Amino acid sequence: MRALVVEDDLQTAEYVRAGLSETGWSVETAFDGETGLERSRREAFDVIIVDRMLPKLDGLSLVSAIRAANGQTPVLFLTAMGAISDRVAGLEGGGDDYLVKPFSLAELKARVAALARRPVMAGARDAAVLRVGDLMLDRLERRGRIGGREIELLPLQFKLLEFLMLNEGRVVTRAMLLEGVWGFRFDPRTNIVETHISHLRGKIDTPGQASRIVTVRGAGYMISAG
Amino acid sequence: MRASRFLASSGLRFAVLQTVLLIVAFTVAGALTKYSVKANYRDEVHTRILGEVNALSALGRDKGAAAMARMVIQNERRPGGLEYRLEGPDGQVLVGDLPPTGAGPGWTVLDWDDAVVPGRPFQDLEIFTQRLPDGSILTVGQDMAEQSRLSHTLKHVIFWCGAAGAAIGLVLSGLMGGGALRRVSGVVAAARAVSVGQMQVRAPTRRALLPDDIDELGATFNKMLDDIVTLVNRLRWVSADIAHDLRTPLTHIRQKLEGIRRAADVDPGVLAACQEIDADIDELLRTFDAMLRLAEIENSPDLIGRGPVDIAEVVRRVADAYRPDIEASGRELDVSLAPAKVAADADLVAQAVANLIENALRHTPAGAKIRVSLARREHEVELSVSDDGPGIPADQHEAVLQRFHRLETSRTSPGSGLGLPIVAAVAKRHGARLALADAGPGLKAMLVFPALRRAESI
Repeated sequence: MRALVVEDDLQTAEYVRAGLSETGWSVETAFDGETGLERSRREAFDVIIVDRMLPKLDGLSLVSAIRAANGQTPVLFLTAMGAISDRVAGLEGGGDDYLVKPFSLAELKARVAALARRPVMAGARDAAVLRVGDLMLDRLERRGRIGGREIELLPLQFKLLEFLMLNEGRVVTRAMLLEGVWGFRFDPRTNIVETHISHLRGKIDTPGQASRIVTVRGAGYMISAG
Repeated sequence: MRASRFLASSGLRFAVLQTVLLIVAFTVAGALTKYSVKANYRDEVHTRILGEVNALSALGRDKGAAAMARMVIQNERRPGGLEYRLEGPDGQVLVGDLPPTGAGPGWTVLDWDDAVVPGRPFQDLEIFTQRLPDGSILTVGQDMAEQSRLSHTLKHVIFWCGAAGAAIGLVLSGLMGGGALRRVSGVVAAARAVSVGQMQVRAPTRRALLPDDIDELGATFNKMLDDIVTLVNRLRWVSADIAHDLRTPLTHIRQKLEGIRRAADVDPGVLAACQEIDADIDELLRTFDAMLRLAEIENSPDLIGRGPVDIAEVVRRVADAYRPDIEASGRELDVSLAPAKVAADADLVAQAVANLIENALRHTPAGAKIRVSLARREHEVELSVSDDGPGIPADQHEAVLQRFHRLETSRTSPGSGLGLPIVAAVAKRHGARLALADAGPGLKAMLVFPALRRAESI
């Protein structure tokens, strides 16, 4: 998998490069907007990570140029511009995700992985039934089953489990859950995600066995068949 | 336009004043005209009577009394002619219709009674009496009924001209005043919109060949707004720059910290210290984000008139999100929501409710009961979050809405001190009111939204 990082802050560019390399990414870097656009045109990437404030060509214009030329590569904005209006401008301007600096590497990795897998998962997104191992979720009847046993889920628990299963095998961060499940674009100061996960585990886990929802330390949660 | 507003308009007041002045002017002019016409007519009548008297007495002197009598009879038959009476020296009436007047020589005004001469309704007569050299008495008079008719007609003409003038004046000044009123109203409406944050609104202007004072008012107002917008934008750029400048070093610190954490994988002491520093950075960022968020909400356009949002759904979503956490902490959550819609931004309302719930959670002991409710009244929708904790003294209610204000007792608990100010900013953007009250015991925070108008709620 190849990623292009367009970032004028050398230290951050190197940090992102090193971090993504650990998870098997091959990372190219560009330090200004024009170079970034040039490379994105000549080479194929699975993900492009773009700063908003760049020399020569700002990030928003860079992404607009890529989209105008019919480029489909997923783009993640990685920027210090964190206002809601900035985020909206970024997403409307062609970005697929938006992460505000300072960020945690785990959050970045999780989001980049989600973006890169997006086209593959397009089928699952619309599937009526989701399956992970013996866990089955009927999205039309809004029911869950483990093996043959029906599990009772509150509407929110259903939504939470659905979100995790749609991202099977990938780490889902707290911020991704807050936005995807609750529609919160702010950061609550309490442990609402942790508490809901723990309640959901109570519903779907078998006592004495490892949880079906894995906690990835310092990153988030993951559900997987293995 | 409401009646009170119409009466308050300077345009209408001006029109009414103008009309009253016009009526007064017409009344005075009418009275003067009537008086002078009457005086003129009287002079004319006097001249005519004197001429007749002189002519007759000259005829009597030259040709004798009989010739004079014949002339009187002849003249009397003329339509619209004068009235006569000729008495002989012995007091006997020789010719003429005029009844005995009893008046002495010279001018007399007679109020004639039609009982005296049936069928000749003299109204009032100007008569001149002269004793002739032969001792006979000649009286010549003119019925002033003609003048009275004329005066009556004149009165009508003046009245109707005046009325028409007043009506036209009222309509014209109403139209012009109305036009001016509408234009001034446009500026007032723009000012009102801007005062609640709709910075893009401008006063309506028109392309006038000869701009009047209202054009100038609108143009000056718009120019002022452009300047303000420029200033606000500059301020926004500055804060975006500050955001960038502060975030970059924080990003570096966090990156280096992560490096240290990896290197110190085995040393639990260093690891713990790294975690603490990370938590501190988090706290710093949260405060920083809250400040920027507050500024963003305060600078965002006003939301009054936004599409209706199912506020009950938003509140339920937030309350449901917090329920497990509240219950896990040994507190109780009681939610009672009436169905309601308000013009709102769902994200902002969600944040406000979350802040209020977190506030209640932070300032109550375990075992406390937190109550979230939504009540619909005739003109408003009240969203309230109350608890039965220690509450806030009434004299400090105002102060806690200020930035970074925290009660001494809660100084040690976490929180940016911006939770309630953000709620207050959200309220302001929605044209809603944030009030704190004593829940006896505990604190009740209320967000009171204006209800949708009937047409919008369907």
